[in-house]
Amino acid sequence: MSEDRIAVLICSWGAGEPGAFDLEPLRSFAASMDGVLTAQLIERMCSEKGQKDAVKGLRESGADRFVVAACSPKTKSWLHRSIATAAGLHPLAFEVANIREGAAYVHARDLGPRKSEVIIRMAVEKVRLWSEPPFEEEMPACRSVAVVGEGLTAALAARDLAAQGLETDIIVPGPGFASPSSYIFINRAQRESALKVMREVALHPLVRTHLHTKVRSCEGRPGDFELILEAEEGPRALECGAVVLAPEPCNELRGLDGSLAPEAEDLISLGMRRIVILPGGPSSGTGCSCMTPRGLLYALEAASMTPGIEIRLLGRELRALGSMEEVQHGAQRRGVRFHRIEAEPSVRGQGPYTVEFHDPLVGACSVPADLVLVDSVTVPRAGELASVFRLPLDEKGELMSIESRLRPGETVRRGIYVCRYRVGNMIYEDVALEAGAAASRASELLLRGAMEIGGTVAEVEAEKCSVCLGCVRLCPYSAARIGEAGKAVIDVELCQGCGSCVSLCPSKAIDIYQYGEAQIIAQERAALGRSR
Amino acid sequence: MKRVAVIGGGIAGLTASLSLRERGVTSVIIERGMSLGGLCGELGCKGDRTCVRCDACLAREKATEVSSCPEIESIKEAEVVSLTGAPGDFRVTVEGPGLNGGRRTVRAGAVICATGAEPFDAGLDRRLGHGEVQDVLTSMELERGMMSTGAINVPSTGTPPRSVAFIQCVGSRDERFHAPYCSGYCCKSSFKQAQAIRAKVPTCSLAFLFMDWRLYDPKENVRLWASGQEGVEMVRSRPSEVIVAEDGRPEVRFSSEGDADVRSRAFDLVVLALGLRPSSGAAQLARILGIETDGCGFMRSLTEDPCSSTRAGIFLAGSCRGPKDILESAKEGATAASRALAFLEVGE
Repeated sequence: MSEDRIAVLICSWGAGEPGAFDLEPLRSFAASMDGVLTAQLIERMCSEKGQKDAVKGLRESGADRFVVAACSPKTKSWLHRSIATAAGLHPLAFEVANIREGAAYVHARDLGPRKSEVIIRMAVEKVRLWSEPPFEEEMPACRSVAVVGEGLTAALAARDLAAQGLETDIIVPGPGFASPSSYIFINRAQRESALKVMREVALHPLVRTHLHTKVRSCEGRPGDFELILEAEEGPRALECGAVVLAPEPCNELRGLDGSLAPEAEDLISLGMRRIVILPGGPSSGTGCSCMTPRGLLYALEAASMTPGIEIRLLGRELRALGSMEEVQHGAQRRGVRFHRIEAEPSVRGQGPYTVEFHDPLVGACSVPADLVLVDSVTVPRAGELASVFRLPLDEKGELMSIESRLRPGETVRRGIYVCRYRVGNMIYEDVALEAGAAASRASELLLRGAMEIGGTVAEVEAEKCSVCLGCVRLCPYSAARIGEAGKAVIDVELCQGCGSCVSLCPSKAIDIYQYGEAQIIAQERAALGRSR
Repeated sequence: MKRVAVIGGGIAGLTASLSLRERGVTSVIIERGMSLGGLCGELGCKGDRTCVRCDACLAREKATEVSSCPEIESIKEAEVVSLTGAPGDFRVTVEGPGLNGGRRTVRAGAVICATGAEPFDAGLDRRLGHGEVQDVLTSMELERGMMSTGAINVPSTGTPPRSVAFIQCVGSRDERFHAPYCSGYCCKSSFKQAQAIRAKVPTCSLAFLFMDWRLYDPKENVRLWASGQEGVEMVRSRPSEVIVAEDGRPEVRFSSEGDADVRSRAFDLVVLALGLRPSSGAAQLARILGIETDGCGFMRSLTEDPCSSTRAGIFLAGSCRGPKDILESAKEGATAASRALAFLEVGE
């Protein structure tokens, strides 16, 4: 008998759910394993009562580590951590055996229980070799935030941060905030209030605005970053706990010659009575792109100022979410024409132009136009920000985010948040919420006071490293680099624990916490039914 | 006083409470229903072998997290009956079966209203045959069916469908039902339901009857998906009615682009993609809280600040202020929490 003190907690789920089977035989199987002090069935471990039962079971058994046999560890590991802590154990002293997605959901009735046994056996053998993480510590957080941006989005984020008592530095590359011409305001009052936010933020006692300044590098860890700023008077350092990136795309209606669209009220005096607005925004990859709210608002404005003006909007779909729908109705009532087209239109001539397209409702069309406008979008800084903050770009050239839907605003680097926008649809309200959400994430991180660092990360054994640069090239999160000692090192705060470098390293110099070679081999042996 | 009352335990309210907790602020969630999760808690996972990012799991996870937090109290089966005190020190009185018929008064420095929205009542649009023509389901009924049995079956036969029609914009973009707005979420939801149907019944043919596709995420490109699938049809049309076909199946009548004729086609299953309307208690709650509603009955937010109501100390999050999808609601929850916290900081 070994002296291991392992507990196995099996979450039991409802009889009505897919793949449910009798768990009692599984429990007695687990209880019979070497070093397992106790194996218990816990009814719905994610419920309040289930968590209490689990903590009680762990405390009474005297176990120092445990196996949770339940569903995917991806979604519930925070819960298991809190169970471990409540039972007085190390928060990572557990292993999850996924017997739901891994066995019960996918296998027929007889195979499900058998495979569950194997999965539990593997988890027990793995947790037997569990050790405390090499570094996981609580560090104090610096209560200030750097906001990197050029205009309204940055100002909105800064307003939210300063209002919560956080010191905020806005880093603006230009001579002042850019004018909010890329945004879509539904009325004049909204535009005015946006301008007011920009003025107020600049005067807020907790906000410092650094003009003519760019960020050259960002080192350190979440809660304690050091930015090197490059300003006219030379480089200087800035300490901050978190960073909010608020890059702004430039989104304007432009003529075919690249000039800005004239003000709607000037159209008549310029002799422009027939206007065609071409589809803008990103192409969908399967045909023509869509009509955008920017074009829609311009059309409404022009049509309401100038009766008799002829405006057509072309595109595959008309995108007008929420209250923008009413703008569309208004435009329609004032005679703006919408053509839903499948293929890109063609434009001939040099002004006046002829626009040709195929509208399924009316057939082939050829319309004359004095002015042809197109929605143009440029996102100038994604590449620059990516290299400065060591963030990967996605296939579209935008800053990549991890599971952006579950954790809005987060980038792969903890403590660095990004405001997103819908290209071609920079509606003020959406942007304000995006900035608010990113600011909210930053203040959640800092107002807690302290934060944990480390956990499931890779570590290089310097003596074995042959400096082949494989990990440096491969790491999708730019966490691996060659350190001062001339050997590969992995940045704890960047590493996401994906394990790519571990499997690549020809010298076997890299190990990843919780997935060490010894643990993996123990699991493999258990899978094959061999003992230790 | 650093405590916030959150009205509504859907995704927006749950996110707001959790976000406040991260910043050391306690909160109490007042939920009308029996459990936390709200409308999105009624949705099922639409993933097959891979996640389609329908976000339906988000509410359940957050609800579980909330129930394990000592800093967040939740009062279920209770509704707000009065609000007294002043911004910075409100007294929220709640009443309902969850309090065994009794009342309770909660003190809070600020209030976050996150009461959500309700799906359109398909019975109001009688031409679409819901409740009269068999095998016409609402998108919510389809979700419940998928959730409870894990399978997709035609109600009248109990067998998998061979053909399904999705009718979009039911109770959205429709002035007859005082819903001139676009509900925004239904394009995504139908697309994901369609993917789930194809995953479970690969031979089933699909038809979408839509006005405009409004999917923004480039990864959710319904056209691209449809062009790579056999038997998926896109018809830009608003159907005129759903009637009973000769063989008893639902028959959709519609015209389409390119020809002026009225077409008629029977499907095994017709799904009505429901838009969102203001929650049934919204008007009364707005009166109790002393805040304004907009022309459609949603809570009115300030032009300059989408998460602030027309009264100081009362903040808005999620689809109580207009239709939202799950992720947008979660973002608003976090933003409203920031606003409430900033308000409490100034108050002290």
